[in-house]
Amino acid sequence: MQRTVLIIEDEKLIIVSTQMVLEAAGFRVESATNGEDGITHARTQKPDLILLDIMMPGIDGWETLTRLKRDADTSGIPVVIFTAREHSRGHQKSAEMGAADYFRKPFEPDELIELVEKHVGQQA
Amino acid sequence: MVATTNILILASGANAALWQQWFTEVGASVATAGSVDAATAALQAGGTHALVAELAFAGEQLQALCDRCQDHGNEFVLGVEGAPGPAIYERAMSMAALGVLSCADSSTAAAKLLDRLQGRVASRERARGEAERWRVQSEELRRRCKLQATKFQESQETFYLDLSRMMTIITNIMDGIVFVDRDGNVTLMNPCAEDLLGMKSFVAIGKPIDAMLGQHELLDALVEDHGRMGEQKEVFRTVEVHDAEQDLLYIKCMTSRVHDYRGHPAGTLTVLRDITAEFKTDQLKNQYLSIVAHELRTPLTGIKTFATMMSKGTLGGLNDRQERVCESIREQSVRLEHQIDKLINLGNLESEDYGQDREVVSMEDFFAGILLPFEQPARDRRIELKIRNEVEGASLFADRSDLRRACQALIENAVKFAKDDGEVAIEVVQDGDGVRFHVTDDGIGIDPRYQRRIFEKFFQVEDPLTRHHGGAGLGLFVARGIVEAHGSRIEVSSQLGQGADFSFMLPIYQPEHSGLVSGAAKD
Repeated sequence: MQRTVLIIEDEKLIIVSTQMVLEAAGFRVESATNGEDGITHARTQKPDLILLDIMMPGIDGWETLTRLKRDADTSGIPVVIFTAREHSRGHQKSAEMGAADYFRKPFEPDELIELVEKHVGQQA
Repeated sequence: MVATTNILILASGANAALWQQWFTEVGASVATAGSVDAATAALQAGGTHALVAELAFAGEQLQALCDRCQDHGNEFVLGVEGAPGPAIYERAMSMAALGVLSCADSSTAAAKLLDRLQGRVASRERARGEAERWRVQSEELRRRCKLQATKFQESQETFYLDLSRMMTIITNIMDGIVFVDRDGNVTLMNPCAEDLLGMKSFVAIGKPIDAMLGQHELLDALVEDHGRMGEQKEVFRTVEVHDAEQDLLYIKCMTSRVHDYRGHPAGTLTVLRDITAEFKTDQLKNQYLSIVAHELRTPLTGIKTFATMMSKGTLGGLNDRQERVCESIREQSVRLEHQIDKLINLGNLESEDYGQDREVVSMEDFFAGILLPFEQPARDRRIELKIRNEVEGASLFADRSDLRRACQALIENAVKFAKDDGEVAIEVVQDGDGVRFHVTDDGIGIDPRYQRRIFEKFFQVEDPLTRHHGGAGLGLFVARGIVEAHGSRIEVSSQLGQGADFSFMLPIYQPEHSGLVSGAAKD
């Protein structure tokens, strides 16, 4: 069965490029351009993995992550923090908040595929 | 040799001829005057040594002549006619009281008189010469004294002028200046320093600097920096201070040891500069830089991803040329990305920001793609880039992106200074419990006297106007900060013309010994 990855990211170009990479690797990719839409989407569609951006208009990635982990419908979905900004102690913070991993943009396509496979595979 | 004595005879007919004969016979040069007026005129004209006058002239006239003779420095001789008698002597004596030399009443007396006259004239001349010499000498002495006095006065004026100029500068300069002598006592505190430190100079001067602890945050910094002057030559730092309105000020605090003109230690000097405006501008600039860099980075991510997919054939097969072009687009986008990263990192050059985001990184992960930004510049100069990893399978607990940045700064530096057709080697070798990273080139090398300074911010060995190698002089500064934040230090080994080897050591990550197991750690 085809695995689904949800990207929550405000930058269209990142969505498109990520989508192309992951689709080429055989994943189904859905997207939301802000935190609120992302949470709704996650709750209804139950993706296998969420790639979550930090810097977004409206509620930011940290807040989105908190809400996803609080909600029983979505708390089981692994979330990978996916950010361009270098956060001081970003790793620790994302681990403490229940994220499965922490990944920096820009990325190498192979690295992204490897990462997604790792987390989706773990869940299966 | 005695010069001819010039004698003026003032006498009437017979006496004049007689006396002229007497004095001429004994070798004097004689002139005659027939009247007191003529004699006066002759005396005034000068050249007469002595006047011989006939007693027959009226007393007042003779006295006037006598005075005149004395005025002109002449001798006055009274001539006497006929046989001497009491009346004549009486008059002669009264004249003698006026400075008359003698009486002449015969040719023998004339000869004697002339003799004495000549002696008198000569000694008078001598005395006059002597006096003149003294006068000249004392004049010279006076002139010199005056010159010295003027010079002294001038130098004193210059001194006071310099001093007041210096004090004007110290008082009005926009930087705070505090001087502490060798014994640790404050000896100078200018008004700007008073304002910044919140202390009046009359309170501080003469007191030990150590006694001022705990009164003001900036003073505390000052006391501490002065305390460090024993082991350090200079200390620079920026101190955050709240002013009276509780606004935050940034004060740059520069303390250094100073020496007097003989080179002896004189004390320590602190310059305090309010850099709040620069600091804020700098912050704005960094924010702006950061925004611009992120705006550049997003589209670049797209370009890179698409180029990668195309060159890998994910989107369908390509012919050789197309593949080469795609690979080139990819390579250039990686280079651009590296430059943008450097731009972003310009914003946080302060070492406390380094090494904060630690994770477990495998050596393979760490090195993946690390050379990518340098492949094309190296290829252009036919430099071979080599990686040799002797510790396969090892991991580090490190800030991956910072440490990569440090390594890339060293590699970039090595590529920059390597010889054309040369070689840059990155080697990781076991070193005790840790791994040692080496970045080696075969290029121009580093003069030993610069080997410490190359890690200073913006330091460049070459003159920036004439240098051949680009860059801002930040790479090694940043690399040092990052490596030190990881508890290590960069070591340099190099000689001019013989390449350079930069290395640092990090401990190998051993999960069973480490309490730090990050949830985000990779397997």
